[in-house]
Amino acid sequence: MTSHPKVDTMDSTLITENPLAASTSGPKPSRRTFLKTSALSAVALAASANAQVARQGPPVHTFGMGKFALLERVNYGINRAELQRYHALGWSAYLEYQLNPAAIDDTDCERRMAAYQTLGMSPYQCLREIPEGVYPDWECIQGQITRAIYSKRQLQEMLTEFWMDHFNVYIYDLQRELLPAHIAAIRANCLGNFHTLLTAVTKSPAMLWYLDNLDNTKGNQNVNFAREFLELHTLGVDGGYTERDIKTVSRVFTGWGMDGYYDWPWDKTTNRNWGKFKYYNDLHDTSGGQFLGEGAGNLIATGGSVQGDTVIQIAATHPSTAKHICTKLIRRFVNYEAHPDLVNSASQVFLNNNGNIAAVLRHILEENRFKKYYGVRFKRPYHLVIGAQRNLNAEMTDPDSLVWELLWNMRQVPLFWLPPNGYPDDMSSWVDNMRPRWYYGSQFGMNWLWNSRANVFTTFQTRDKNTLLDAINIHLFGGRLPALRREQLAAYLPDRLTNDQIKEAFGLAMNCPEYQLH
Amino acid sequence: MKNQTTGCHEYRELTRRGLVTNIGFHALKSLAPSWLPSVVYSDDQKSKGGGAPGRGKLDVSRDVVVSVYLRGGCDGLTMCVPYGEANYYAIRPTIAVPRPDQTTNSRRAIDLNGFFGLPQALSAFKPFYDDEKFLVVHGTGSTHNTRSHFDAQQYMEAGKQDKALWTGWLGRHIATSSETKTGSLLRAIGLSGTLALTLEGGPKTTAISNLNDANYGGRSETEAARVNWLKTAYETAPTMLRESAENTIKTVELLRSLNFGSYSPGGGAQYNRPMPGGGNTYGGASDFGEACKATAALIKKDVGIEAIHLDFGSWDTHENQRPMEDYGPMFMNMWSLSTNLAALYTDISAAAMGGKVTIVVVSEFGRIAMENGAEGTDHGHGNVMFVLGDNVNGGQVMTNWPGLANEQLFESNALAITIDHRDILAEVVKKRLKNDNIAAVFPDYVPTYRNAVRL
Repeated sequence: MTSHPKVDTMDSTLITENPLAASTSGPKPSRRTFLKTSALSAVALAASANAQVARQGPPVHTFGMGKFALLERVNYGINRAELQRYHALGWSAYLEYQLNPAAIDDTDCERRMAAYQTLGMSPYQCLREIPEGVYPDWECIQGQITRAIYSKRQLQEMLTEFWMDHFNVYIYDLQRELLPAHIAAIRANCLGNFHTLLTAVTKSPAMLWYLDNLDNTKGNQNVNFAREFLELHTLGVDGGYTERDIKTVSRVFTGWGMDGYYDWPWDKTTNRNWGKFKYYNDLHDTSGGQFLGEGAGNLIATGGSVQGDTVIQIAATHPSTAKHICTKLIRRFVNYEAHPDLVNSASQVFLNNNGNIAAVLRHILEENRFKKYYGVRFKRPYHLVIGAQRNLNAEMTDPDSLVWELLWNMRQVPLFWLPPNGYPDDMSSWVDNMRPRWYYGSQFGMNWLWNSRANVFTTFQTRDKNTLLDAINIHLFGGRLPALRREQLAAYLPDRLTNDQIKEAFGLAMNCPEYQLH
Repeated sequence: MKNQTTGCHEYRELTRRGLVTNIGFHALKSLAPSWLPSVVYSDDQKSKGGGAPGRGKLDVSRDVVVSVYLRGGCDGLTMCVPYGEANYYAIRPTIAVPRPDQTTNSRRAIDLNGFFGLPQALSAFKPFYDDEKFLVVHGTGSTHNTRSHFDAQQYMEAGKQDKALWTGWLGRHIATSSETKTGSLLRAIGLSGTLALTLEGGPKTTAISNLNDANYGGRSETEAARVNWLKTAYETAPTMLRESAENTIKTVELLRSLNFGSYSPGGGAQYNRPMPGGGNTYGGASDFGEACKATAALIKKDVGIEAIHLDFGSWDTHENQRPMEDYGPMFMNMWSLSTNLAALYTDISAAAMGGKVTIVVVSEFGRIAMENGAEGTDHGHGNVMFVLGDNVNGGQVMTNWPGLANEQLFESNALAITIDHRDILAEVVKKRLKNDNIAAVFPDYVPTYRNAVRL
């Protein structure tokens, strides 16, 4: 059943005692010294982490926090550069570093992003000014994957994914030219104020299209957007709203639409605002209504687009919304079991800081608090695939290959979740079939993936089994590989490793139960 | 409804499998959660009566159940048209399916009983209806008042209005019945990327998205050693992972023995038939055809699979339902549903297994009785469900028709529910799946049997 479709040029680059000297296709000279030092420090770190594991007692079911728990939570995967940075900065300074993405020089990643020409474009440009065969929606997926692997702004990318789940849209249920601006708006606001983010998304024609608000007009109400706005985007299903509130919100958002929607045929349009948000007063039902309760204070008065702004303002700053958003953030970054105390304190931070998302993350990821509430999580397929690319410092040359060979089979391609609730964030939804995950580890370790090369030998420059396992423990597990699992890996391998055995050690390490978790 | 639970059910999912894994036949009673009353396995009953020598634990007289879930809330008023009700045409001026006696539109309804009709897109069901193998239940569903997809799916799949219940009705059926084949590798399969709640809780249950995928990757010469290594490593993994790994290894073994790639359907069954105008279906509609074909292959292989769950998405037709033209979203979905289930049934019947399978089709809610301004319909309440099988009391539309007049509608805008969908499912579980533990499968509910299927 197993096939060997790829030529493995790494095999011709045999590891010697000085692998860098023997490498013909390895990294450029300027990086070599850096690689060497970091490999050394990784080994030193591994030694101390092992000592820690040994002190932890029985190895079975040891899924405690690794030495690099924060690094594992705010990165898709630990890589050499971030390991060094974390080592230099420590917990809180590293967290601050990731909480301020604008201050991070991301030139290397941006250089790769230049391949995706539509991502900075307006909808009109996507419609009229790109060559045939360029698809903005597909570039969104490619760009998303490229950034997740190579951006140093890892927390920003993880939050972009978080909000893309929260404000889910489905690739084939909207006009593809609307997607780049939609995602750019999410990325730009992912660590900012929730009110601003919510406004941007509610005024994103991609969302209005996907949830049918373009057809929600005066006299022809379509409540789809209003329902999900309350249930998914803001208050949460038990957030205290009623069917009447859905009706009110639906009326309030009548006429919230897309510029150029009625300019048929679109491919001939000269309206440069095509695809941007537009409020149509003539389609707007001005009547307003009661929202979230009785009395004058809860009345959305007769009016125009200001009604929608008011509803967004009320919903964005509502205590139910604070609780809903904080619960989801805690689940994603701390523990599936969001502890009520942490939800309460995070909600207070949310409400006291104008819904500032960075402030909430700073709160829940603060070292002592995080350690108190920490819980093991299962890596969703996207996280697993991206993380391993980072762990092995891969040279990934075509994201499509990762999509078609891996993510598609694991059923988590960005923008491919159809219902509005986003990809599930739990273990049971994803745990059922390990085969594609194991396949990935085995193929990637052997360097048999299409268009992505694992830099196994330059990441781990040794043929000695114990040194290799130390390095694997740090790079792939953040130092939390249980002693039993390490013994099992050791039992599979001879003391002195061939190239294929080194690669297979990687495959097995990536197939470990602990590698599925973080 | 509010504040009945201390948190979203998903919070508890990490511990789901902790329970499930221990649901072996013997461990179950001691570990049973509070909702699960004491259960009687059919193997217990069998052994008292003395089954076949040496094979007393087998109960081979049970049907395989195929559960089809139409995600998004299908529009039951299109899928079984109440053409005899004048209100239907009054409140659906553009999307109503014309009466069977309307001569100008060839996509008019196909009469069933003088009051209800099938749309042309479901015409493949008509021969089974005439053979009394296809049953329509109308004005059915689960009797909560939520119009949220996610809550409604939770309640329907769990079989109870309970957000904290993490097992599904079919999973609990598997958990409370004996295997039909001793030592079968798998008992239930979801043909989808992730396991549906319907099947959660069942032992030897997994989700597979593609029956051709059975490749572990890596070097073939070390594969056996690596798989052994994985078996050992996952023995000490957390429960959910351990169980998943065991299932995965068994599943790969099963798929390799199945060799699905070379499967050819019997009885002239044609999956993914082109639409009447000649065009092919695509997306979820064609995926459903592949899933039906895989279902037939699994059933015919007779490897002990007792339940197969199929998810079919995109029924959330807020706009442009277009139920009467080839590429209309609802037409294409209905066409795929009916022709592929017909192909599945023809395929297994050709292998003389038609009497051994019951197919049930459900969706979380129906849609609003009135069309909206975009030739679509918003989230409603009562709906249809379908049951197909040789031992189904088909050839009828089973209903206590609630009517479509304003005062007859649920919350003044949606079809009311007069038959709880659990009545039908419980009867299938009891009579066709031969499981008497109805209180475990549908906790806190006493079903009314309506003679939907025969023993």
